[in-house]
Amino acid sequence: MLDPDCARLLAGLAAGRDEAFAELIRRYGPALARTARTLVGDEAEAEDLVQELFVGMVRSRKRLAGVESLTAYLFTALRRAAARHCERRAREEAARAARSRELDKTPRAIRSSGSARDEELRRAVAELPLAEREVLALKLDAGLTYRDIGSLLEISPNTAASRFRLALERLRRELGSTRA
Amino acid sequence: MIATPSDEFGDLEARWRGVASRPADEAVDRWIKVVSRELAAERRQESFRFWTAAAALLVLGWHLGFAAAVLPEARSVFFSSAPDSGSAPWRVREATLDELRIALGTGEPAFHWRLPM
Repeated sequence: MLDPDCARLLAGLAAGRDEAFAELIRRYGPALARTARTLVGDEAEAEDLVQELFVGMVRSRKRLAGVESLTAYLFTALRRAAARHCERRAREEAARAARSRELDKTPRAIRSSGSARDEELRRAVAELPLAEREVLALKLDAGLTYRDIGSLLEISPNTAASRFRLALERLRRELGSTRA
Repeated sequence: MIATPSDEFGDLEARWRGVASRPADEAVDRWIKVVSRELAAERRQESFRFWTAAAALLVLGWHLGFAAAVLPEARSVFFSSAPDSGSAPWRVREATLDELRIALGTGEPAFHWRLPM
């Protein structure tokens, strides 16, 4: 059951009202950007991806009236867009440099300013397997519950939780080994 | 102070939150502007489609009305009687072509156009 606030927002979006889209962007934009950055590994590309997502919503806004969960809709769309983006980028990079074998779905190390310790963590997150990185992004960047993540990724909440734990353990191992 | 492994990695979640969070205000403002422009473009396109359809309907309606007004006149010129009068509707009046020829030769209209109002 949709809460009244979300239903009001969806009605505004379906009607193509500017203020509804501005509210949507303010409410979900930062979390979507953080999640996208973890998924694609590049800040500028992540922001472009989120922008494309919002523009796509403008174009298909009539269909938004039938959406049951805005959060699930947005993050599912983002996840698919990120996967398409990574595949396209991998194809382009593979075509440019056939020698590189590590480009498939692994994002580039996230480029951002920060301390060496932060860079190390970013790189370790970027090197996580996609399934674990997705759960990590949806849990920490998007702030979703395991139940939400499970329904979004079509896995059980327990599987989502275990993937999250695995991701953290892998990060701990990775960061520990680089320090050893 | 020497950091123990548990201190070092126990707060991974918090560390990642700190690393991942950054002020996205600029991006948010930019997205709002882009979306607003896109909405305006969509509205213009919808308005254009609406007025094009309205104009097409108007032209079609005018033609249909014109045809409805003229057809009875044309029928009376080409057929000897109205189809519902009992005689064969396809029997062309013998005098029709002569009448038209005379009308064209004299410059008089063969029949009067009745425009729909």
